[in-house]
Amino acid sequence: MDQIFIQHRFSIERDGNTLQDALVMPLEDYQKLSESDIEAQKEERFTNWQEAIKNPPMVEEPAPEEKIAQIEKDLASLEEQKQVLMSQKVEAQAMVDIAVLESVKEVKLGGK
Amino acid sequence: MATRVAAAGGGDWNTGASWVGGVAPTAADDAQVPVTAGNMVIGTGAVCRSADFNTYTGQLSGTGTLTIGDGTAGLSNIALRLASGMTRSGSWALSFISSSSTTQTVTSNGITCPGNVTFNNASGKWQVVDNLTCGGNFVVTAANTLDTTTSSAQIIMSGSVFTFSGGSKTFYQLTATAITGNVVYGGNNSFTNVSLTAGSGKSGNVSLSGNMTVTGTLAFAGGSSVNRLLILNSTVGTARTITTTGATVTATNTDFQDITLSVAKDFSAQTDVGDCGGNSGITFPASVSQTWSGTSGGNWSTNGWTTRVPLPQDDVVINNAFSASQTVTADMPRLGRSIDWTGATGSPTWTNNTTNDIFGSLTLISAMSVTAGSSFTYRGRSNYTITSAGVSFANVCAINCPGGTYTLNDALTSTSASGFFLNGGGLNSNGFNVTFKLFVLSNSVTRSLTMGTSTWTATDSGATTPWSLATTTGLTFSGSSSTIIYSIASASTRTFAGGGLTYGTLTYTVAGSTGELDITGANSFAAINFSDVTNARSLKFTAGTTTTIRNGNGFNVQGTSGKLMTVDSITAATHTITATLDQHCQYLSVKNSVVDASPKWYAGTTSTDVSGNTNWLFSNPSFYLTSGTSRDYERQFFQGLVGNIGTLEDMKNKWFCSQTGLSHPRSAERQYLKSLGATGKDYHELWFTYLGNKGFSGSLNDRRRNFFTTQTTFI
Repeated sequence: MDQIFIQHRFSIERDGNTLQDALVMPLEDYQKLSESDIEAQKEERFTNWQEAIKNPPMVEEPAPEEKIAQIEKDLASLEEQKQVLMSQKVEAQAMVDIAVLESVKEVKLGGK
Repeated sequence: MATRVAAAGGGDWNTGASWVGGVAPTAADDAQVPVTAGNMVIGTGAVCRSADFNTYTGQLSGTGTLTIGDGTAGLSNIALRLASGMTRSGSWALSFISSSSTTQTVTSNGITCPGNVTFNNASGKWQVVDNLTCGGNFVVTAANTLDTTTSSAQIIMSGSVFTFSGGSKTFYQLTATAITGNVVYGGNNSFTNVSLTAGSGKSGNVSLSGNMTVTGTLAFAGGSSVNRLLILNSTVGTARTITTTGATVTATNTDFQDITLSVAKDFSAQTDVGDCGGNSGITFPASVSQTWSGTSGGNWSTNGWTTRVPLPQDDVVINNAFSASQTVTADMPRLGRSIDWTGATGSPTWTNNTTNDIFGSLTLISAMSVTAGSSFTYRGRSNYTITSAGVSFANVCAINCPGGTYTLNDALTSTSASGFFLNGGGLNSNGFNVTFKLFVLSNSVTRSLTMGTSTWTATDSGATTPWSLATTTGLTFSGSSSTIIYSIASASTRTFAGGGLTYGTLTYTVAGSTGELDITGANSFAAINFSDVTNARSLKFTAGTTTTIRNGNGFNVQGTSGKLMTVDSITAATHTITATLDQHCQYLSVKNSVVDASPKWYAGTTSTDVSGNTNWLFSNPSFYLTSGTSRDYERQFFQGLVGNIGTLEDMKNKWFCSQTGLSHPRSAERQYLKSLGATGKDYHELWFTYLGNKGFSGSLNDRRRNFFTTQTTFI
């Protein structure tokens, strides 16, 4: 049997910041929560969101070796793409060649 | 044209001393490497008309390319003949470039070419006499004839990753036995047989950028139920046809994506063939829901699931009562269809060590954490949802679901510095917040974005483009009611690449941020909020573009005394901003900015007219008031204000009444005037929104007396 979920939408505006979020949980879990439980979950969401905004994770500059490895990966990927494009070019050129041959054939058959 | 014989001492191919007579082969010379020759090294510049190693027992090594051929056929019509008794090392490659119309033979005698094998002359004709094993890429750039069928010669790709680009030729057989990574297949080629087998890794895949026709046997095989092989079209969402008329088709431990088999094949009796979407002509095993087994974490690939490690079409349920500190590691590239953690307890951690594809909905729980480092890509081709439950995604998340849509069930937060991507298919924020460092959706793939009334918050502080939507080709977009906030202070120049679309409000008002904001594209905004009382900064537009502001006072760009906000173009030419209602700014430094003559654009007397501006008014607007209410108090109050009273400051000074007032309600959208009585104390406050040439509307507030007017219009 399908489980029934509750989506409790809420919006918290504080200090000019507005969080529009929802609590989503099975109906039986929702029915066990008190009002204060629900409010606490909302507060936790707002706090976590503020934390993500105010203290986003710092990104460390990659080491030179890591940069080189990434560049080599990118070059290998570009080489693959180049091979694919080259094969596509050959196919396209073959189509052009066929078209040219066909037109030459028409001219010759036309006795011109 | 001469015959060059390798010397007993061997050496570098392109060095004279390596050859009898002291002359290295040219492209017109036939090279012979007999049993008497020493070890030869393929370095740079190694060329010949033909290379015959018949009876050779030495070693051929090096990292260069041996280029073989010219306008005439090699001796005995041999292009290349390796010897079964020779050895090889290094990564040397072979390039066949003869333009001779005589068919020349290529004989390997069981020796693998460790590097690339290339055929590249539209006039050239070659016959591969026996199995040709290539350790690098096999590329037919051009060839008149490449005959492998006469001798039933296989092209055997021995590498774990490679490109096979067949030049749309007909081959006897393509064989690969150790695919563990990305294999690129190109050309519309025909085969008698194809046999592609994965090796011992989990990431083996063959990306088809050309069609394939097989008339004999087509066999796809993963290495095991977890070392699976993925066959997919190179363009996600577009089907690639494999023509299998008359062929016997087998697939084991193989997943398919965007593949059409021209002759329908039923794999439903098997349990090891996966459906990644976009396929036709293939009947897959039925979806079977798989539940994580046990109370411990562990690897996705080794857990004792209900019946099998989830196939892409299997839903996944993880609702276990985990012991403390357990980690589930998604070590499979394709995790399953919908993944649901509802009901799991014990605060598990979900991580990964490879990129993961999810082919349905994702439902997390708040009591878990996601520490995945590699990306999640959402690939479900129907309507699916993402429920984050407050969990942030530190890894790259991408949506690439042609024909499908992902709808948020709650707010989504991405903290990945590499970005959150919409690469194809639809994303609907469903009114919920979306928080990201970079949101990248600038491409030409069919996709849709429904921003609704959500707040989209960009948290990157680097010199980046947090909203990256320069290319809108293929995009269906709805964003006119949205709010986008650049929320993090930065000293770097950041860009809003709007793609010329219609947005709601763009806000960059975070205090202490000195970084410039560059807006690219001819966008329309309901409002741009750009202010900061703590420091000056710059707002710049692409020169030559027209930005539209839809709200009155929607161009809410405000500096403060000593901290002017600069309005300028990104490059040294003018930009245009247009509106339909008056705009009122102050404390600006304006340059290269063209605005409307009507409605009016007031920069105020506090702003500086630098240069290159048109129609900006560096003055204050004037107001004209009449009474519009019927209450005795108000009538008495406003009678002193009827008429044109000049500037805003004038109005402030002349407004008085006999009652004291205490209220100071605030509204970011409205202006207010305080009345000052004889004692200099605040009296009542008139709240109004200036509507430009339509006058303004507002209310008189006295909260002590709970005395309000409603929508009184003053003209």
